[in-house]
Amino acid sequence: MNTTEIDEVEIDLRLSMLKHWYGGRLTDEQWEGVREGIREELIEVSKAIRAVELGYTDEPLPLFAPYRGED
Amino acid sequence: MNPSDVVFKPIRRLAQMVRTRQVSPIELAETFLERLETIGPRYNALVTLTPDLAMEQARRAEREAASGRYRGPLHGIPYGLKDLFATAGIPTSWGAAPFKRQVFSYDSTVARKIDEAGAVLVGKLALVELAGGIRYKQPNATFTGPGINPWGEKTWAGGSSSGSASAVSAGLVPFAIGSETWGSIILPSANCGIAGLRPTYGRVSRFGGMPLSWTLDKPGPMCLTADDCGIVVESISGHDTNDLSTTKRPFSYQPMDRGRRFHLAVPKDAVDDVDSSVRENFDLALADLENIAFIEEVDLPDYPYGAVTTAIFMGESATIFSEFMEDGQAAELTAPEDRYGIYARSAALASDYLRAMRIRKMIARDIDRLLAGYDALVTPSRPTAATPLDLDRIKSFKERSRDTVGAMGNCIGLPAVTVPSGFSSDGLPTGIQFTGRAYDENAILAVAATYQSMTEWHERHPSETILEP
Repeated sequence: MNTTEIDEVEIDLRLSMLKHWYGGRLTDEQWEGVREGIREELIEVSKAIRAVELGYTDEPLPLFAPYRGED
Repeated sequence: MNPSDVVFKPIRRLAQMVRTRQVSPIELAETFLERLETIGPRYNALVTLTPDLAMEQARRAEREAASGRYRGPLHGIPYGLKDLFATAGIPTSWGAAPFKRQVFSYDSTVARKIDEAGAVLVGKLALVELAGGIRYKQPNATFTGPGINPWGEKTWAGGSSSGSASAVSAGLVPFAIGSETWGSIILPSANCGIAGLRPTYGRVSRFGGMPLSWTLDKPGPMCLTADDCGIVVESISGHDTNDLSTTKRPFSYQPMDRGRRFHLAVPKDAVDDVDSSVRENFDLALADLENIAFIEEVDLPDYPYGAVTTAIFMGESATIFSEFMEDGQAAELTAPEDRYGIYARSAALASDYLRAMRIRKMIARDIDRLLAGYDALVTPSRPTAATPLDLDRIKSFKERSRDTVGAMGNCIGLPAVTVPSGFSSDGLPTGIQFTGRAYDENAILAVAATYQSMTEWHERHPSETILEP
């Protein structure tokens, strides 16, 4: 499969999950809009951020901080 | 008192008039309540007028002034609050039809702090529904109607803080509070030709504001001048035990930083893909700034800023809006595309969110290193002047702008201020934006205020809103 085909598979998988959860709520036309959203807001974004090289010492920002009420 | 004595006057001038008893807080409240009520609907700027609270606060300010108690520069000054922030006993709609009648029993920290500073709330102001956090494609995306720009009735005020921007621009309030997750202060302020400050993330408490993205949301002032933004942000900043992201670093506004040359950086691609009028005005502004600053071109580190910010936004907003979505309330939203646009983000991956948070740290480190040698990074605030009300904003953003500096600045919580830089050939305002290091609001405000002291763009106002003396 080429990249475009892989993208379509991933879009279909994510769309299937959403339809499984919320299928009856939206019209076919609205589901097409959701599909467009998955492509633009999730898949394209995923590809861009997965292209950035990260090392094991590159931790997330912000880090978890233990909590004490008086602080 | 003649209304023309107080309308379109900066806070610093109004404060002097209040302090010297040239004008009373009650007169101010009555004047701006009337303007907001009568002119506000023209721009779809108003959600709820708050006359009872305003007159109570104004009478308090009057009493205190008479007895010699003066709370500071906001004492007795009317303002408008984006209807995103809770006010006890007064509806807080979040701009969304399903929440029209929502009433909280407490004040947001922003509303409480401004009250303590002595300001007078005259109205809750319109915004794009749910602060534009779904997937709206056009300005008609709130139950109050599209935000109309006082500079051109067929153009958009900008979003999501549309009412805050148009109300200040039209002289309906001396200042307003907006909020920005990604562009919601800078865009409408630039469109409407006013000054808007996006503070450093954590400088101002988010408590009591509708969350859109916990690590991106930032309340901030929208005013006639950068100097006014400094006055207001000082009054609303500070650590808040209700918002653990607020900084314990104190903030004191230092009005000007005269006597030294500023150091400014301009990204090499700052005017790529912008309108000709924006480019011309930006070039002229840089020429003005050369009188007060050393200016260097810089390369921004190569990161997918927009994708990182989007991944963070999608991950956080998916869970923030999960109950709203589960309840099926999205079907009641105004924009047809918002009724389904919320669903896609439920399929966001946690691994993508965390990867974005890891890249975020790299961006923060590299940009801080870059900005350490400068007072501000200078760019056009927007690639265009205000766009037509019927323009598809998603398409126009894709075609016209990647908003690299906006994505970068919001991603890592940097402060930015926009002030007007001139007008397009259609007579619409353009803006110039100064972005600074984290917690360096004073530096960017000093540059912006000095620029405004050399220019007169902020002294022009939409003609149909000007009162004859």
